[in-house]
Amino acid sequence: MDGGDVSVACVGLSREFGPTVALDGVDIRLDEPEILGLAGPNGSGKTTLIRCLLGLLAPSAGTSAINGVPSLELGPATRGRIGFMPQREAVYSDLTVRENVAFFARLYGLSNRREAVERALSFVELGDRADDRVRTLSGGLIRRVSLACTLVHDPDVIVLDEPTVGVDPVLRASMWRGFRERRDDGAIVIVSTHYLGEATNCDRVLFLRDGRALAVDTPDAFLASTGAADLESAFLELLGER
Amino acid sequence: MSGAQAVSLRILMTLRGDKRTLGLILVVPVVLIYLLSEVFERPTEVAPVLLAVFVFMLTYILTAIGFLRERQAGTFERVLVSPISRLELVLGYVLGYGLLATALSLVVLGASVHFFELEFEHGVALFFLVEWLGALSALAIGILLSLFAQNEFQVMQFVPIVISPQIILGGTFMPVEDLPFALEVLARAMPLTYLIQGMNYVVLDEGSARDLWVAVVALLFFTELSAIAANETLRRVR
Repeated sequence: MDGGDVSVACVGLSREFGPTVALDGVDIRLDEPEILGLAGPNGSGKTTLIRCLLGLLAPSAGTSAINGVPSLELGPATRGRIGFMPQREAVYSDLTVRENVAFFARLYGLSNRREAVERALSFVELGDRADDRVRTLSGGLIRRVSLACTLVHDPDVIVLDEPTVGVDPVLRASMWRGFRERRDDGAIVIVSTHYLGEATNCDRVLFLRDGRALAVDTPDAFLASTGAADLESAFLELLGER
Repeated sequence: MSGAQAVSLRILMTLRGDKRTLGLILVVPVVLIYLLSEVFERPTEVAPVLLAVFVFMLTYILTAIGFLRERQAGTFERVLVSPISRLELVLGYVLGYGLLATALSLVVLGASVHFFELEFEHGVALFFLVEWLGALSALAIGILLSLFAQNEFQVMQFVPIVISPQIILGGTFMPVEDLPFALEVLARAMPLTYLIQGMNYVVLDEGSARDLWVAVVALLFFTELSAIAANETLRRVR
């Protein structure tokens, strides 16, 4: 990890696709290591928010920045500190697990490539499948390969789009432990999920609905303010549906 | 440029497990040229046009679908977030698929010599140069057009729109200079015209050395123009 100051900011971030408003004036500010959950149902704007933040999509209005650099102007130095896990498989099915992770290690120009690859494989517990082709793996294992590719360069801004989809509960718990370790080591971790219950693992949760930020707070504060027993119920309370 | 090297190396490594693409490069041209050698009594006369169209079409399909697959798989966005520049990414693709295009060009050359018993009026080296430059231009156009496609079907839809007019007007059925003026101008704005022009010279000694060098420069120009346009498109597709 670089060890420098980390920050993520969005101000009034909006994105329209024709008549559809995918993101509507979202504000985020993270100035220190923490895990921020982006929670909401499918189509609530989580992926659009992530793509705007990473500079993959230009916003219709508003601004965003990572480590103080505007998203649309992210240079190699800033991008080298970002780890991104897309929602789709996003790995090469004709390569082995190790070759995939090594490719991303090479892209990030790591000098200690072999060591970094083994460390990433160990983190996702795929050391014993390292020489298998990705196409022979199950969906959950492929998510683990994808996560290893995301973390191989030890980023300090980690953006994960639905990382735990299709992953079994044991590994899911282990992944969240890993995210907390990254945060403790100084990283900002942004995790999107539509499993609202999972958001309890985050330091703060941003609830999204139809592109709008309903609220952002700690899981405990949500439970206290709504009187709900779990975050799913709290979300429904916020929607005014209960 | 290490990013470009990483991308090109990855393309070649991926190919090991992709038997269909390997077949498209190593087997399909041989079979097609064999079939044509059985159909044409004097294949040498039609060889420049046939070989130009083969190399152009196969390289276009190979590159456009390969690049599209990367976008569909989500790896493309992941690579865009890495420190690699968009120019390095395009260069990596040109390098990686350029090597595949080179292999394809060599296979076409070997099959032509074997089945067509092709002789080259101006030597095999010049033939390979023209063939290879034609493949490179198809490669760059494939990358560019695939950026406007959302799926394989849309990649194929570009064939009748962009590739077929080049085959019809590029000198396949009649010399470009005999076309009506407006169509001649259109033909001169298409890379396949120059690929056929160059092949006609090196295989049949049609035209002059000047025609050959015009073809070489034009093919290089189309390759560079398409690569620059792809780089710009990548910057704007947001």
